[in-house]
Parts: sequence; structure tokens; C-alpha cells
Amino acid sequence: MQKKSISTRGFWLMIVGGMLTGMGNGSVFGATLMCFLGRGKFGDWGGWMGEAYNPVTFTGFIDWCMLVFGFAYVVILAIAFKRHDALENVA
Amino acid sequence: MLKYLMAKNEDIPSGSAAVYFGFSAITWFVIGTGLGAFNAAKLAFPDFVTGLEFLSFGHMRQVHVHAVIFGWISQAFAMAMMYITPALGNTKLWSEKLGIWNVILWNIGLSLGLTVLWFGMTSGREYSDFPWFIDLYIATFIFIPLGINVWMTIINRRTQGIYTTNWFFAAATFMVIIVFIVGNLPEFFHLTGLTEAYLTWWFAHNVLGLWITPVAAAIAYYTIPKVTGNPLYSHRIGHLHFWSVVVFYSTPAAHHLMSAPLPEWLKSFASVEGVLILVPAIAFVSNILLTMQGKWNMFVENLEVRFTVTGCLMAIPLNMQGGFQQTRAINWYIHGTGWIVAHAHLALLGFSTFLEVAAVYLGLQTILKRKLYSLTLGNIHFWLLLIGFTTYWVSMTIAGLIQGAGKIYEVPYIDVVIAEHPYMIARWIGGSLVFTGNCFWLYNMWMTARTGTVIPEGRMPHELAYER
Repeated sequence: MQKKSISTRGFWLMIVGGMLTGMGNGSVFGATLMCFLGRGKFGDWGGWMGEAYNPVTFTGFIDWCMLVFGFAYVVILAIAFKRHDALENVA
Repeated sequence: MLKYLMAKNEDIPSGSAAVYFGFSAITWFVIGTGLGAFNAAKLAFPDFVTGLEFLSFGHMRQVHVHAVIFGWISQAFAMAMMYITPALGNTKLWSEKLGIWNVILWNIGLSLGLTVLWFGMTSGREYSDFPWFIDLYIATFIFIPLGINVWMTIINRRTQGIYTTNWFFAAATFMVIIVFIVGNLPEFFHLTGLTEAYLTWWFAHNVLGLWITPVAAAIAYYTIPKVTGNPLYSHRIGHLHFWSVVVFYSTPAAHHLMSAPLPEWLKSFASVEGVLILVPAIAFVSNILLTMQGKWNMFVENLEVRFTVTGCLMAIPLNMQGGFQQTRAINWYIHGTGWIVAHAHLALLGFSTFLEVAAVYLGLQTILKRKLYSLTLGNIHFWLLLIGFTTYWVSMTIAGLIQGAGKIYEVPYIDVVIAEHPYMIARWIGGSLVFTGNCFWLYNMWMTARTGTVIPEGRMPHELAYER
């Protein structure tokens, strides 16, 4: 029986692990950038409900940084798994 | 277990102390995360269990923190030291009897300490909340005997060199004693004001930096080469990791007090040192991931490797956050928010716990010579821990960002409380998943000891994982 690839078997590890790793780094990047750029008007603080995910608000922008970094790390892990699979599971 | 207390050392089976430490650690993990889930429920549902002072959040939080740090994390470290130190020195543990006494005295002292915290007797200093007599007990009857056993085992080794893991074990057991005695000086000598504040955070920072972080990393330096069969990628990078931990991690306590009236030069120095923590972090993560070369199949197949590598992945955001969140510009925003709570859990429940869990799984199977009772339960444990922790961490980080923004925008406090309520519920769900996973784990390891298939001589537990 053909052994499934590392990416296939590690799909959910890639998704959860990648998002967790990336969102951690995105949180720091987002917070740094927003502290550098400064704040807008009072209504832009981005705390209430969906406002926290509106990228034009202070909080929402950082949350979007977390999500973008999360997806980026999933892609990085996917590429890494694919390359390791090619090295380790040669047909 | 009690029969070994008065037995001759040579009559005690090899590995006994590690087994008792292992089961004790798992039990404390169940208790500690159960208390954490209870506390999270109180934040999510403010009317949940009210009227009893000893079950109030202020009391329960201290009990949770100390049960997890000194029950789960530190006892899992002790378990790992009891079997890894002799294995790497090609010898036996110096004294199984001392190890058994250590387990007993540890549990007595910890139970006493948690009881006094529960009933409100506390120093009131975060992370060093235990009153002075418990601190002295911990140093004298917990860490000094542990250190003696580790150092004597290394001195009596039958190998020429000392492997990286044992460097860390020997140094960390020494450093934690110093941290305990010096860090608690305010309690012994009634020091107050800034001196007390600084020493409180010197203690809290170094319990993390000179005990939890290096020992967790040392465990990974053993687990990954042992299970994968690959040699460590670089001992020299391991030594860079070791010395950079000792130099950079021991000094930046003031970065916990960036808003306090400490000397500005001290805060700036601490902040720069804080960023330099990235040196050991990068050395560690790269060393472990490069050791995995050619064995990435095991990341998806093998439980111990999966736990360890996932823990190493968590070390990346942990140290990126840790390195930069303490700089003045970012600390101003996130200080005193749920972000810090999330970060602390990324260190303790994420990074270090995942590495320790792997060591306990591997150690108990190896010493008991029993195959894991149920791999399915092991996988369920992994996923409940990972999904539960991720839910907890994401919700708390976002709640922290909302709190931080609320702080700088001067939003009324009650509005911030209302805004973060959904995240408190998510936090409780995440914590409950972790607690449930640990209940499965305790059952699985208990059944492994009772009915697990015997591992033939010369085989490793993971080699048999998929054999019936």
C-alpha cells in the first residue's frame, strides 16, 4: 500500500500548529506596528464585538496581522512538509 | 512506595523514583488544570460559586499557579532527571532511596503550601506567594535533595564527557536553589518597596528562565535524538544555548517593572538583555529541528516526537513575544493585560508542558517496560491539549489586545469587561479541554502500568507502537 505523504498525514498538525506559531509572531508584529503608527480617534479602538476584527481599527489591525501571519506559517509548514516528504518517502 | 523508605538503596528497583515522580506529576497536572478550568469558569460566569471565601478567585488563582509550577512542571522535571541523568551517564541513579524520599517530602510540602495559600496565608508576591516557611521547606527538602541526586549521578557517570542535557540538569538544579533563597529574601528580612518589587520579579523571571525553560529544553535534547535515532545536530550550538541562557536570562528581571521608578539604566539594560534571549531561543529551536532531518515521518507518526516538535514550534512565538513585549514601546501597551496571561501559558502550558509530556510518556514506558495501553487515547490527549491550549491562547491574546487598546484609549473599564466576555468563555472552553485530555492521560498511563504489553529487552516503546 502506498504510504500517504507527510503533508496528508500531518494536515491538521500543519493547520493548528502553523496558525498557532504564526499568530504568535503576528501578534508581536501587529502590536509593534500599531504602537509605532499611533492611535486614531476614540471610535477606532476596536474593542466591541466585530469591531475587533475590522482591520481599520486599532485592535482589529493587530488581529488581522495575527491571522495573516498564521496563514503564512501554515504555508511555510506545508512547503517544509512537502520537501521533507520528497526527501524521506522516495518511491 | 512506603516500604522503600526504610529499605536499603540496592534493594530498591532501578527507576522507582522516576515512576513515582511521573505518576505524581500527572496527578498534579490533572489537579492543576482542573483548578485552572474552575477559575476560568468564574471569569466566564461571574455568578459561578460565590459566597465561599476560600473558593474565591484570588485564593484559587494562587493555588492553581503553584500546583501547576511545583506539582506538574517541576515534578515532571524531577521524573525526567531521575531516568535521563543516569541513562546519559551510563550508570544508575546515585540514590533511589533519596529519590523516593524526595517524592514523599515534595508532595507533603506542596500539599501544605497549597493548603495555607487556600486559607489565605500568602506573601502576596506573584509566583513566590508561598509564605517564608514553605519557601525554606521547598529549598531544603525539595530542591537540594534533587540537586544532590543529579550532581552525584553525574559525578559517578561512566562516560568521559557530559552530554548537553546533563549540563542543563546540573546547572538548573543549582540555579533554582539560589533563585529560591535569594528571590525570597524580602520575606526572610522584611524588605519592602522597590527592593521587594525587584526581588519578586527577579524570582519570578528566573524560576522561568533558569529552571523551567532550560530544563524543558534539556529534555528535548534527550528525547529527539533518543527516539529518532539521529545524533544531536550540534553540541556546540547546545553549549551556545546553555551559556547564553546563563548570561542573558539571569539579568533582565527589571523588564517586568518597566513602569516602576527603578533606575532608567537598569530598565534599559534589562530590556536589551530581554531581546538577547532570542540567542538561546534560536539556538535551541534550530538545533532540535535540524536534528529531525530525515525523520519528519516520525512527527506525524510518533507521539513523543509530535509532542516535542510541537513544543519547539511554540518556542518560536514564545520567544518572539518574550523578546519584544518587554521593550518600552510595546510593554506600555500590553502590560497588565490578558496578553501576559496568554504569554505565560504559552511558556508553561505550551512550550514546556509539551516537552515534558513527551518525556513522561517515554520515561514511564521505558522504565516500566510496558507498551502504551492505548495509542488512541494518547492521540486524543495530544489533540485535546493542542486544541484546548490554542483556543485558550488565541482568546486570551485577543482579549489582551482589547484590554490594551481600552487602556490607551481610556475606555471605561466596565465596557472593556463587557467586550472581553466572549473571550473569557472561549478561555474556559479551552482550559476544560486541556483538563479533560489530562484525565484521559492519567487513565492511559495507569492502565499502561497495570496491563500494558511487555516490551522485549532491547526494544524501544515507540518501535512497538503500531504492533498488536
